[in-house]
Amino acid sequence: MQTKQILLSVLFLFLAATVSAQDYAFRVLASKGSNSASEAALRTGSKIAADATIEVAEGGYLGLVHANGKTLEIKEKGTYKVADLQKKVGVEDKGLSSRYAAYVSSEVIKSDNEGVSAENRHKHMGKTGAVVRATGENAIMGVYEKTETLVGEKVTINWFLYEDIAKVEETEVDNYRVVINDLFGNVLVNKEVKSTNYKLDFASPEMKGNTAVVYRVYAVKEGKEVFASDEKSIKRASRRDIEKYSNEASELADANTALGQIIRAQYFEEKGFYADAMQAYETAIDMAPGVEAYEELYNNFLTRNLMSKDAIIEEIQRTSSKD
Amino acid sequence: MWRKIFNWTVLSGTLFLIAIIWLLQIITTNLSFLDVVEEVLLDFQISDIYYSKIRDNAALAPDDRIVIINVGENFPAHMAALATLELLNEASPKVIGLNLDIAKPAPDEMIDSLLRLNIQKASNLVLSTDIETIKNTNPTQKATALHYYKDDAFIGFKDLGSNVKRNGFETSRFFSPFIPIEDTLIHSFALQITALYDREAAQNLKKRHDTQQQSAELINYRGNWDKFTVVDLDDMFQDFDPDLVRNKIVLIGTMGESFIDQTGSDRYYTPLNDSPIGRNNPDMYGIVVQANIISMILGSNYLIKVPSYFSIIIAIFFAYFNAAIFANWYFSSGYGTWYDVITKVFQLIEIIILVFLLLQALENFNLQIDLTFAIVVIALSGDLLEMYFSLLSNTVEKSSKYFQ
Repeated sequence: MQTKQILLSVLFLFLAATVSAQDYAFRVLASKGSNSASEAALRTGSKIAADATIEVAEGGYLGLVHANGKTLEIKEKGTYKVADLQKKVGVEDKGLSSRYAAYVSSEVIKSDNEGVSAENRHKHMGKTGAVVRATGENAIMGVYEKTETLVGEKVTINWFLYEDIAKVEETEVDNYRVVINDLFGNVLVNKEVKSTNYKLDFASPEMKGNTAVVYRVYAVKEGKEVFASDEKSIKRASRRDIEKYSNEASELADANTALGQIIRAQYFEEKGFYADAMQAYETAIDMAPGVEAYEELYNNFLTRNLMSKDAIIEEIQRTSSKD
Repeated sequence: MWRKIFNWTVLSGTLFLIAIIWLLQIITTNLSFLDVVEEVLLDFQISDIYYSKIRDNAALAPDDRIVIINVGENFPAHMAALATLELLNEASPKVIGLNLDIAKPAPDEMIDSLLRLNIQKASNLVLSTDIETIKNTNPTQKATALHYYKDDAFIGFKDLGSNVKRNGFETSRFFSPFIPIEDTLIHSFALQITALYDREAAQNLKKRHDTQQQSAELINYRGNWDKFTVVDLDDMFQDFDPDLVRNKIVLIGTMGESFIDQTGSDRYYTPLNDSPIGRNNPDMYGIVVQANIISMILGSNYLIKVPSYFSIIIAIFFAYFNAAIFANWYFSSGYGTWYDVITKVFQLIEIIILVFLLLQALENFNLQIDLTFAIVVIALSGDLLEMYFSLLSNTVEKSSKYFQ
């Protein structure tokens, strides 16, 4: 009898442990945004049952760990059944041989665009570890640095066709396609424009609340994308910096006058916010289109900061001849 | 048959191959315009491809013992430290590691007093500093020269090491567990935290090194921030569950305005970078690197660095092996113009197999073997040996006699 009681107790404990080990399918490692599971708000550390449905909000992020230890990230807005997510993480482990074979074959059959060629030599300059200059050669050249920080909400993305690299004239390009992604690679903007600039407003709905974006410009000729710029990013400054520099700029000059915008432009340039400086110059010129002095100041700004086509090309040629 | 393998032609071909490669290495070192090539080769390791492209990272379980709090970029460091400690002091974490720039006093006296109060209240708090500050601190000066709050908390240095300096582009591969200064052993930030959480695990690490000198331990990276529990301080203010940090190691640092922001400061290049050669953006925040080191120490999941002489032995082996095979092919009348094709295919297969064996050793035994020299030997052996055999056959009449 005593043996039977002990065995029953052990069995009960075992069952209890098993049930408790399976009382959730996923646990939240990291959560951003108003995410929920079966209408209960999710936060870091929350447990999600196997029969739940997860809602990920716009711009939200969920980092999950399954009960089997495998991790899963959800970066796109949507509704996800936990049962479906469990199937994803339940996929059998591939051995090292399979993973290595997959890697080797993917490298061997890489497309020509990524192979070594004269047109792609600039990419391989990067691969040899050369420090990327802002004036690194490419058929489509953006005027900003690899990462540009913005105090204001608006910025104009500018670029030009570098004919020496592209081997085509500007007039042969039909349009430019601007593709702007969030940091997870989700497309926010995918538009064709005739001009060599695109105005971006972080406050607009298409930005979906993102404070940092990555963009690339493609030249379109006869319906095909023939060249691409390097990928660059623009991010809003921290809230503290935005408040600080915006207030200082406002105290310095009135934003409602052209002269005020010129002064703000010079202030932003001094602080290293070149995109904001460019925006201020363009606003000043829009406000007072006939004033040549403002245009001259703007051109000088672009030249000294290597943000105009001529200045960038001259710098490239100068550094190439030095090498 | 043994005569075809062990003979003067093969031996001299091996020596020629190694001598040329050695000369090439000298030339690249001395020519300044090739410095960048040398830097990249020294910084890159074949095993980086494993971490970034081949390892099944999704299958690696996260480390539940560590919680990372991102204080963001909106608060000055002292205020962020104060706000975080006030929350945590009500929640019983086992150890707190604070990686914020608070080595000097807060500009505001009230903040300074409140912060000191919370630092004193926190049990097992480790503050970060760096090796330069430690080494430059005169022992006769006040202890606060090392860190303003040194008397109220533990101190650890957070420096990371790399194979070569590349102006911020270098890959962070190792850390020093401690440095001996006079009679004291100053712990690294990660080791000090681990010692407070799991003394035995910390002792295991110490036993691996000579405590009389500064040494290096390779970092066996578990993964990026997705392998740890991460929360933004802003979110903690709105909704904080103390169970999240109870009995855990809590690391406090900056990870951009939000932890999903990949453009914050204090980021490093690691072997997990998507671009093992050349550079993408830095891929890991400093506080996450520290979390990886702590996780490695707790699990005693160390990498074993195979001595460099072993790598040289393997390279010499392959030099001789290829010299023997290629000599037989070259002097055999059956191959002729097919020599080039066959040797290239053979070299490619050799490299693929060698790298596979390296990755097996890394995945199954945590063995870190540097096979760069061996791979260079294999890659150059076909053409260089062809050149040598051609020279030899035209100058030494009986060079081919062993292969008839």
